[in-house]
Amino acid sequence: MTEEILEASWLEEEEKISFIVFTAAGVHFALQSSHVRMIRPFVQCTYVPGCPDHILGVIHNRGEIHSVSDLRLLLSLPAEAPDQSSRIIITKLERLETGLLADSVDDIIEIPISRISEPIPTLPEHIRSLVSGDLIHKDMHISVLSTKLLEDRLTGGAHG
Amino acid sequence: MAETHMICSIDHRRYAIPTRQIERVQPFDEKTEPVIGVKTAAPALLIKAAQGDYFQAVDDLHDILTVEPDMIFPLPRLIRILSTNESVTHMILDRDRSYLVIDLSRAIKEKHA
Repeated sequence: MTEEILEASWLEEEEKISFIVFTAAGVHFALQSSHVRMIRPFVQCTYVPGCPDHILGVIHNRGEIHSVSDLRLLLSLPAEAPDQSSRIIITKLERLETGLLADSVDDIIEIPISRISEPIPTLPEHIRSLVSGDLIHKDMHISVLSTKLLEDRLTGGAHG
Repeated sequence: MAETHMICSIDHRRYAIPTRQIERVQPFDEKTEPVIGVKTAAPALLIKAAQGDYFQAVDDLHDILTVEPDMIFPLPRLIRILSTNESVTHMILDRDRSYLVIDLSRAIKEKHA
């Protein structure tokens, strides 16, 4: 009993990280909340010529212009037209800010660091190469996106 | 300082070109070269750049828009890193409408690069 109380108290004191949970093509992803500036419903993007396929274009949001990338195309997942549940997640990554189009944003969770494990080995390589960890929430595996790897994929290795 | 822009369409999308960069507009002619800037599948008109013998092909002309400095914004960094079309660097927001700006001077530099 004493051990259980001690363990519970230790868990309470453990540092937690807040994540935004979202989906793309049925795969659950998490991104640290500190890298998310805003979440908004999908709006039509203004096409910009000469950009890679994953760039849908730019949007105007509260006096700022944001680029928007389709997470499905970025992760080599099957493309699908946005619908009412689609959301644009405005992220602040290591060196740039950009919007990511997700199929839906499902939750905001706080997870103790100890519950984040290595990425599951069965993830397809094109997804695993962007993932830094795995966590289980409500019996679901959620892949934690690495902001650095995500940024490298977005820019194709070019940093401008 | 406010600057006027010609609003035109290219592949069913609206673009703006600073009028100070335009010398004249003429009908499209396949023999007229070199064509710079943003490509179009259905060119109907050629906009001659004020600087040199360069032309931007467009589908149609729509309006002249006076753009105040607080209506024009640089494109986001990711776009500037990735875009292979260096002539488009800014965007105009006019109430609920938006236009990408084609900078003919940059398009000419891009042609030379």
